[in-house]
Amino acid sequence: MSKKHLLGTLFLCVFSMSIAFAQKHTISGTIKEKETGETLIGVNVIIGDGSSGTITNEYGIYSITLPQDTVLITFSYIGLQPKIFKFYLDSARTLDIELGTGIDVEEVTVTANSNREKLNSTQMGVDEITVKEAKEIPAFLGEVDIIKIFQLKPGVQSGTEGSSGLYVRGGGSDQNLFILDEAPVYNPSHLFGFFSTFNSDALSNVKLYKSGFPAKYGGKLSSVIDVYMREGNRKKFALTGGLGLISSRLTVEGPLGSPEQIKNKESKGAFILSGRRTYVDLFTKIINEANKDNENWSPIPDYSFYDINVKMNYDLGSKDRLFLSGYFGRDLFGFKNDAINFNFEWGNITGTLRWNHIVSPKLFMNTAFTFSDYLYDIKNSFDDFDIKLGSGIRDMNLKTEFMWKPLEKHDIRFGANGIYHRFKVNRFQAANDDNSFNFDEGNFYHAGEFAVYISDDWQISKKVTVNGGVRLSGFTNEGQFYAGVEPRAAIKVNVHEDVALKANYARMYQYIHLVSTSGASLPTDVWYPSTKVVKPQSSDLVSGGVAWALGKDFFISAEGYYKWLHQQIDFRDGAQLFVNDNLDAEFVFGKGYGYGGEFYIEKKMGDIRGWIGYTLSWTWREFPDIMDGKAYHPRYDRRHDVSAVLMWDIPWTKPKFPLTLSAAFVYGTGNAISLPVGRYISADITGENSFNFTPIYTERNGFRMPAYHRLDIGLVWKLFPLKKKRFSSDLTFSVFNVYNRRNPFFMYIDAEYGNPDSQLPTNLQAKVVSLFPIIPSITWNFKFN
Amino acid sequence: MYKFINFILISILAGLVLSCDSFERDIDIELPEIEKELVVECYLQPGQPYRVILTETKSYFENLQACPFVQGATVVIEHNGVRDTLTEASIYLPGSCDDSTLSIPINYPILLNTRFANYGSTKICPKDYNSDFKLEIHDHINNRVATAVTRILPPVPLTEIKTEFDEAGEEAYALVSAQDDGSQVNFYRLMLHEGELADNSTFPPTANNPEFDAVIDDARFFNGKLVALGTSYKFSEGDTLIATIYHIDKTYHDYLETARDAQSNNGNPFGQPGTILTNIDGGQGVFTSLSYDRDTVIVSK
Repeated sequence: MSKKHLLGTLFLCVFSMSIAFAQKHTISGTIKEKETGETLIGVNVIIGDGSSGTITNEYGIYSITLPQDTVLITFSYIGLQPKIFKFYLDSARTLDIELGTGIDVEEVTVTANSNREKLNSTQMGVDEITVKEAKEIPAFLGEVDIIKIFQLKPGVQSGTEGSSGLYVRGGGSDQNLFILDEAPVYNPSHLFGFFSTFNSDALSNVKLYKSGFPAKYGGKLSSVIDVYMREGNRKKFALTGGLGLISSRLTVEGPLGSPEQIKNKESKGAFILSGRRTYVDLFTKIINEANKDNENWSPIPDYSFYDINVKMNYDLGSKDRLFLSGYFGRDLFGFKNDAINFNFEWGNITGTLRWNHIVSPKLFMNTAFTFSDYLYDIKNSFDDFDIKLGSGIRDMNLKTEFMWKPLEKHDIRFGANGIYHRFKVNRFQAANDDNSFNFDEGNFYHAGEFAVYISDDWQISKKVTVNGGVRLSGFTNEGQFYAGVEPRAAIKVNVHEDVALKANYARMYQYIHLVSTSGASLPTDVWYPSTKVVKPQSSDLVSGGVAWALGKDFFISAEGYYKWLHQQIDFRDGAQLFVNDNLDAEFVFGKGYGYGGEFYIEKKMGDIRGWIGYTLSWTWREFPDIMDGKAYHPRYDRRHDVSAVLMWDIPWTKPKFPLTLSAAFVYGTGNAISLPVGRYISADITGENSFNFTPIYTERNGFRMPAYHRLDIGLVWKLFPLKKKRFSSDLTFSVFNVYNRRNPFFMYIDAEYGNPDSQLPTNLQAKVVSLFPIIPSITWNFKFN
Repeated sequence: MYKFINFILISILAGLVLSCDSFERDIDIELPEIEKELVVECYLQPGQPYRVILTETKSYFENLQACPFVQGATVVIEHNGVRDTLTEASIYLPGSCDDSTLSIPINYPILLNTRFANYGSTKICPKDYNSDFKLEIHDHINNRVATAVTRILPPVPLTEIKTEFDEAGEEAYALVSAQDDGSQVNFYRLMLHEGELADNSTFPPTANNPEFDAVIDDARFFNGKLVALGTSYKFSEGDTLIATIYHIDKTYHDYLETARDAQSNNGNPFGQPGTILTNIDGGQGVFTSLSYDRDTVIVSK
């Protein structure tokens, strides 16, 4: 072919491509909820019969490029009336939509095919919970906890009974990335893990990624829990709240703008302020006060926790929005008598300043500066001695992300972020008034972490979609530099219009580590950076499965996974983690691996909704310095895990007396536990009781506790639903552990004495300790607007 | 509203009543049998004769009456080439210990809360800080051998036992301190007793139920500084306080820490039991020395 012909051919190609591009136009816009004006995440944007479409991103924005033609476009979202538009697309269009519930409860029409969204997504291993769903599921002590609901999903194990800790596909509780409005939350729990820090009134929805992590996420190995706060009501002022057994909640929200704008419901922004506080300490104070003259009375320590969430957003123009959000939460434990004043305080602070900018219908930018701080502080005053102990981590993170749809079949995301970490490790100070004793120990570490990433969700054909990406991450601390390449890949093949095969692979790096021997989430656990000795953890996860949209309502999936965990961290026997300036010397390093299968069936719509999940899994750890390198199970290894959740809007109770009945059943293989297999007597130099045996543990977590199973039920009763008043309320009843199962919290072996005065035991008996029997609770929720 | 509040209160009460039900129940479990190992406890004390407690490990659910003592073994302590063979010292353990009857020796119960040994010597342990002491044990019946090596450390003097009364002048706290040598790594065991130490004829005075008994690693924040531990307000005028600081070696420190961890982890839902670190090659336990400084004060205003 001559040069002339070649040039001609190229020109023709380019010309025909430009013609082809010229014949396509982009429809983009923001989708909001009609009642509140809040943006909606995950709204289905369906083209024609559903063969193509998209969803709104985490900022409520969508963009889709279509050929010049007549377009039938449907916007649908669970619980809201869909909107359908038909028009001739001959130029780029901005289509901002508001979706509402309708005039009456009865008019709520749910037609969104949520199972299609899950089927069509290249992503697998993702679960999403909305606050609305969370409020219908029975809650422990009536406290709606959106994080605990993820424990009811396959592939996610809880830790100990009642704990909000998550163990995802064999990963540890410190390998979960909790994000609240872009800012990481380092200790997402209250009261030693029994409640999460996320107040449901302030949230819109939560996503859990178990695998196939998008390239934008990094820094933790096993899961991402992305929590989105509500934006606040743009249309009118509202007051919501609730009174529960252990806490109360109150949320104020409303529009921002001039009085005229607010009156005309054309405000430029909104705010929301939400608070929650427990009040057990108020009762204990009264009890202590009543017994203050009783010499035999041991005062009950004060304990309480509270959360404050605040968020504001403001439209700077049609293409720019500014968000400012924050979280402040504390747990407070105090004990005081004549000689001692002991205070223990821990909690998180997060702050996010975010700027959304629509660069063009095809390009969207999100830039954020976040601040995160977790600390615990123990202060103890004894006469003229003051002792302080504390640890914490503080982050400042600048991140930017671009979402770009250059072509019809490509959805490209790229971005970068840089984090400054400050670690406060075991800061111990002790001094007396005359300064004759003055200790000041502990370390501060200042570290940097950065990442750049790019990913493309590419619809190769109607049947095949791939998502490829790579994340380059790095970490520096004390002159030591680590970097990692984190490839991410996913593929979806639609083998049938209702069935898709999916597979993915992800490598993750984790540069910060949680120093904890407890296996539980304790506030005194310390975050520690990678150092010359402590190298970053990393993981490789492959998973594959099949997704099946059965009819309009059901979604069924089956997935299998294998996860390799490298450079895992544990502690040498006899490790001193408390007030130790040289923690590096206490670590031992090894590897982990886990594999399993998950089955899931879900029905999200209709009067009867719910899901059933089953997980079969194995989790292992291997450390050369533990049990001579023999593989062992971590405590949360669970062979079988079953959960079933049912929600039923009882039809004959509507509309005058609408009741929603719910039930949740869980079954899990007992946690792995270490038990002594031998013993010996030891006199010690004090000549203590020789029958206070020294136990010999030969195998870590070599035994199993009895199986865990429990049924919870709940009932939501909407009060006076037909009265068109500005005030509405409901009563939520729940019963935790309906059949009063004594589930194991831990096991031990006790010495029993025939004669109480004897130091000689007559028997050794294994015991199971349980925490929570049947616990009924009631919560009253109200809304005024 | 009143009815609603009543309902909430009734719910709380119902929850509390139900919560008071037993949280603990017995469970039958099977634990494997373990291979029995020699267990040694030997604390060399300059100026005192050699004594060794030689027992063996038992399977956890083994009959509690089963005799733990190892009989008929050869126990040798060697120092500077001089080997001293300890005799099975019936004077320290009167009575018999017959496995065949699976009975506790008659006098065993009275050994509770006292220190005892079943092998001993009349040879006095020298005050030698520069050479090794070697322990060698041959259990001829079960063909087991255990060996260990240790050294005696020089004692570290107590600096002060300070007492101070509260504002009301009713009760005093105590603060015991010693100076750490920052030029080397040190480990201590610091104890405080109130009253008087037990004076049984077998061992030098000691006592159980200390006010505190702390194992200290100076690398953790005492390095080169004052090693100090205090009590709460609990002593009255005229009380006798006896403070002891043992200068211990790393192996004893590690043994104590891991043994205490193992004991406390049985019953601790947040604990992580581990292996008990020992310097006994072929067995369990510890072979170490006790170098200490001790001081006594009478609490006064």
